[in-house]
Amino acid sequence: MRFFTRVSVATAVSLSLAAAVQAQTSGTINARAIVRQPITITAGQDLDFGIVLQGTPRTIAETAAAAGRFDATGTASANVNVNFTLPANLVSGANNLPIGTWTGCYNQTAAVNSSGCTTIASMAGTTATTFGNVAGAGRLWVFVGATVSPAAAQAVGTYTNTVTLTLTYF
Amino acid sequence: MTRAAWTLVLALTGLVSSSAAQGVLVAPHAVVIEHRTRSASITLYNPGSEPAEVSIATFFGYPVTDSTGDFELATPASPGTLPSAAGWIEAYPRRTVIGPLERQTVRLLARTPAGLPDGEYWTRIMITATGGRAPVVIDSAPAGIQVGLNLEVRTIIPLQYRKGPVATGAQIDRPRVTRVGDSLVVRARMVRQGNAAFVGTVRGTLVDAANRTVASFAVPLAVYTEIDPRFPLSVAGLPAGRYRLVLELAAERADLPPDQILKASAASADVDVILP
Repeated sequence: MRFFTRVSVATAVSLSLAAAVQAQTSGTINARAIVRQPITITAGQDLDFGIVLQGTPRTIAETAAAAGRFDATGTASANVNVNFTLPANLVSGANNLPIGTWTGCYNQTAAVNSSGCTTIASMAGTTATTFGNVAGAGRLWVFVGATVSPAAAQAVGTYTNTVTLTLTYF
Repeated sequence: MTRAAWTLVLALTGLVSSSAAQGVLVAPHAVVIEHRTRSASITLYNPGSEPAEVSIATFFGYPVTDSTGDFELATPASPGTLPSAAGWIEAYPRRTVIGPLERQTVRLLARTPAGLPDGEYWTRIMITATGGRAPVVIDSAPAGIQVGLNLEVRTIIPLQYRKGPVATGAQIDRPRVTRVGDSLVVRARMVRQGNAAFVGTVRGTLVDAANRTVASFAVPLAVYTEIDPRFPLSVAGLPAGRYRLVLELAAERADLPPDQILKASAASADVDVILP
């Protein structure tokens, strides 16, 4: 009886496959997916100083439209830690262009820095900085401002350095 | 996952609108490797419009709390007696370039040392992505100076390697509450039990004299050794009186697959709260 059942099933499957090949009849299946929140951090907007003159410091506030912005997503209410590594200078060969007075704020509800953006007090320095845990709805926008201070005789060249934002998921 | 599926995920997370973004999406955000398979994978996706240079590294670290109750990652130079997997978990590839709207699977392979005792071993996976450059021009006659800021983002996720029987649990000790403005600051010491990290959720419930819930919070967390975290709880608008705060630790996480979560008995503690 068990053997018969197996043959019957096999036959039925074969017949079904044959029918499918020959007729290409339509049908429906159920699809199931479990969506889990990935973790993402991206540099959403560059820190844009625009035109800067020799000998004239230029400041972009963290609340300005030109402020740099990092976007992060994760699980709602999760404990994450955000850490900046901020350079003290932009470098061109042996020449330095000082960057001072880094400022920052974060918003957990919208990509808005003009209001509702919590100041990151510990960003006053220029070294690695950690600002607490960011819980909430799973979205986080971090805004960064800074001051560049070119000397009056700032050497011509291409100045670069790296701003690193690290998101640690616990 | 197909590009369409990734697009759906990005749409859900609101990243599609950030077409100029530089960085990578990392999934999953926690990895468990079983000794019988000795491998796992993570998927990286570049939601940006420019290629992203990505590197993957491992290092030893585990979450602790500082004196204010904030979480931070302890990264001792040597793991000492703590179970580190950092030396024998390898990522392939370790460096890659991911094109715009493309994905890359990274294999994580365990090359366990001979005679590795049963237990759970920890490491952290660090995914570093670079790409964006912000051009800044300093105008000066007759020649200008070009200045660029390279933007680099790093994502650090936990990895746990399990060999043989593992068990976990957590104990809540010394719950305490401090009033700060219109909120309570809730703190409690949590100590891991067993030989594996406790991964779960802490729930705080404030009940009044009639045992009605008047405020609550739920926060996913992990207890690797011991922590003393801080949780804010708004009590704005609550009348003066006597309340009770109940803290519960449960081995549940909505953001992780159930088979990654080790079963553990729930733990709880409570403390009286008087609102003046």
